[in-house]
Amino acid sequence: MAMHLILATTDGVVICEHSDQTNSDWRELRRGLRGQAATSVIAREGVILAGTHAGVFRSNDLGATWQEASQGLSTLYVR
Amino acid sequence: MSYHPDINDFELAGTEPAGIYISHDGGESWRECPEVASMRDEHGWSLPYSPAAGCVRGFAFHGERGYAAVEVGGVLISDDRGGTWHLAVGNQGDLSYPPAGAIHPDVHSIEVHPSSPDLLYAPTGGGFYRSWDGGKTWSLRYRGYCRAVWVDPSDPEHLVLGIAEGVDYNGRIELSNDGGRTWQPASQGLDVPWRHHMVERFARVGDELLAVLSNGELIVAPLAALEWRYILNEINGVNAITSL
Repeated sequence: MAMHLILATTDGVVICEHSDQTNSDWRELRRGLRGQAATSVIAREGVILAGTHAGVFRSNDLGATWQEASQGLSTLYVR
Repeated sequence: MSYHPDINDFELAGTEPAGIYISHDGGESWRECPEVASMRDEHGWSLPYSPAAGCVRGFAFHGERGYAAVEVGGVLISDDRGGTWHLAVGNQGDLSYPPAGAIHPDVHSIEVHPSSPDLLYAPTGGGFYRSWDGGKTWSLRYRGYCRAVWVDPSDPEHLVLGIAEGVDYNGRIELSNDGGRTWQPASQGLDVPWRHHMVERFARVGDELLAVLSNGELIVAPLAALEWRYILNEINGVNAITSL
């Protein structure tokens, strides 16, 4: 069972967690990259990559902090 | 964006204007696949709202084989795990309406079934297509406008499709249990058709199917019985989703 949902939104990335022990619903845990239009998001082995209109951003701590990860991207509008 | 499911430290980013970039260090650095930009320029890929662009908006992988969806341009194939890309035989690569057996060039997403690297599903602006031969030929399985399909990994005939009558017009969800030969409504719990939005993406999380709508809302349903409900209503503008 997934422990977290990660949402790419028009105002950053939202991390969500289960809101109760039945695992039937979700609630917002935290939000990062405010002000960035996030268009896509992938996650594996604790690393989240978010594609935005301004390149790729990476988080290793479940969205608590983000680092730009766009070295080599000549086009920054990521879908 | 996508991971290669079988290779650690292999990430892909599709861009607008249409391009593909790959990373082998967890996204720390990226390398462009220059052949994609060459195809974009040669064939004049474009978007309705950005006439000199086109975009790569989806990937699918099965072992060595990779596929990419190009809006508006067609389907790209990689035979070396995403290292290099070329046009699938069954699309023109340009913006003309497809002849029989070819795919509509407005490809919104692409899925490959785990049972075969040649079994493909592609929602497009001209309908929902399926290919049994790795993209050489395509069969139109739903006439309409669609952006997202969920394919049951244990049953290649079991499909859930987000369909509309036009761009974000009269959206709804339908289901097929015979590979797209017949369809039935699958929008229980929803007030459909949605006049001004449609399903943008599907994502399976555990035993549930989530759908991102083009108005930024999020819905979920148990896969065993597609009874939908809205979740996370306080979060606006959702474009994409994944789980961890």
